[in-house]
Amino acid sequence: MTCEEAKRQMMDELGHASTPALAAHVQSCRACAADCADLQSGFAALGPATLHRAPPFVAEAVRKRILANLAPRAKLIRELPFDGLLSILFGTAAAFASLLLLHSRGLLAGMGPLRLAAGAVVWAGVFILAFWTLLRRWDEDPQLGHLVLGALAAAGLFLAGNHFLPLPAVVQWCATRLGAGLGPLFFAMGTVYAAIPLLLFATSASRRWHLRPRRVLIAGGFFFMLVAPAIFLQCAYFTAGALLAWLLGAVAGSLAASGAGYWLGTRANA
Amino acid sequence: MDAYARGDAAAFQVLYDRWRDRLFGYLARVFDPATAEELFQTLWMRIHGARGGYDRARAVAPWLFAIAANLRREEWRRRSRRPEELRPDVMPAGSTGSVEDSALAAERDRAVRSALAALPETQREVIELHRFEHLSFPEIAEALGEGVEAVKSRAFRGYKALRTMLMEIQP
Repeated sequence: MTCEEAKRQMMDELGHASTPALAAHVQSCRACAADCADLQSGFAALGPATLHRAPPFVAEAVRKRILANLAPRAKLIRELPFDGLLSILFGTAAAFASLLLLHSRGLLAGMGPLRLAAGAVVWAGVFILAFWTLLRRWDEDPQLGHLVLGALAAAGLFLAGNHFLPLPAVVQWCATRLGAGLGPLFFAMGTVYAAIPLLLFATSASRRWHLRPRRVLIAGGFFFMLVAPAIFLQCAYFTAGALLAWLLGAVAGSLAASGAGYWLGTRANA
Repeated sequence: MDAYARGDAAAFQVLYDRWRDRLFGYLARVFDPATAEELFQTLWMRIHGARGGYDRARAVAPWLFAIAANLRREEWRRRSRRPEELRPDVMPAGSTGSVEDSALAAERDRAVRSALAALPETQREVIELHRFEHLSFPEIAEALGEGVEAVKSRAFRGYKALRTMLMEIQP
């Protein structure tokens, strides 16, 4: 046996008992003996493989997704746009309920019909998009489904908070008491109002799902899209600058809460 | 695999139950838990999408690991475009088992992970498939689309390097 042949044989027999031919060569060749010892100890030093298990929720999501794809379904049923119809139904209902919530607090008073209609249509569109993503992707990508559901929940929390403590009223109260400009106040309060509900959700989602940062930002993006029409509709009495400041505040709050929520959730997991 | 390729759901369940943890481990050994979970989902979707092209003359393991190895390489390439992410994740990822209870075992596990992470990717993937996934060199060569001798040569260099590194870490 040549040294080249011995080297090949060593690799084939790694982790097993040596054949007599290889053992005889190794005994008579110092270089091959050293190689053999190095290989055996390198192989053994790795120890037993650590057992990894796919997290159950991920494993089951993949199983469901593939089984759903394999399941034979009648063509007619498969082609019916149930997700689309339900999204339109839920989205329109959610937009109507949200408008009603703002109206019940007198926050839509003084608004022109055109502005109101435009805001309502955009809002319904955003809600439909959110519900469509939720229904469409729930089976295929449950993590994304939960993120959208969380964004909807956070938007609901934002609207509830704004109902009990309307942001424009808080800003006006602060402006009167503190003498600060409306723009900075709208920005600051907009940040706080957006950050609190989203932070609650982003922290718990990061904790539960081991999310990647960009996934949390997706939820933040959905949240902002859902609350932006509410901001637009409440700014009838204010200048475009105030509207812009509030929108920027909501963006800042969404970004900050997504980042902070991710950090807190990840830290809690660690 | 053949039955699954024809659309048999029960055959898929058998295949999935047999391979899911091994394939997850192959990803979790080098990536953080979140990345491993995301790649795991992508991997199975790819397997599912590619099932029609499965050649029944081939063994299942190299076919599955070929898809997994490609996915891992893609992730490395993606990370290489972002230098701050280039370092392999060496934190334990979703591992379970009684060894976790032992501080000594955990320390050894960390040392092994660090040593593996220090190897070039071309050597590491061969060593992992050989040592942890128990694939033979011809199977590894098939999975990676390389020659058997090239794969053996990489494993030879890799094991020797590991021996040196692990002797330094754990004299």
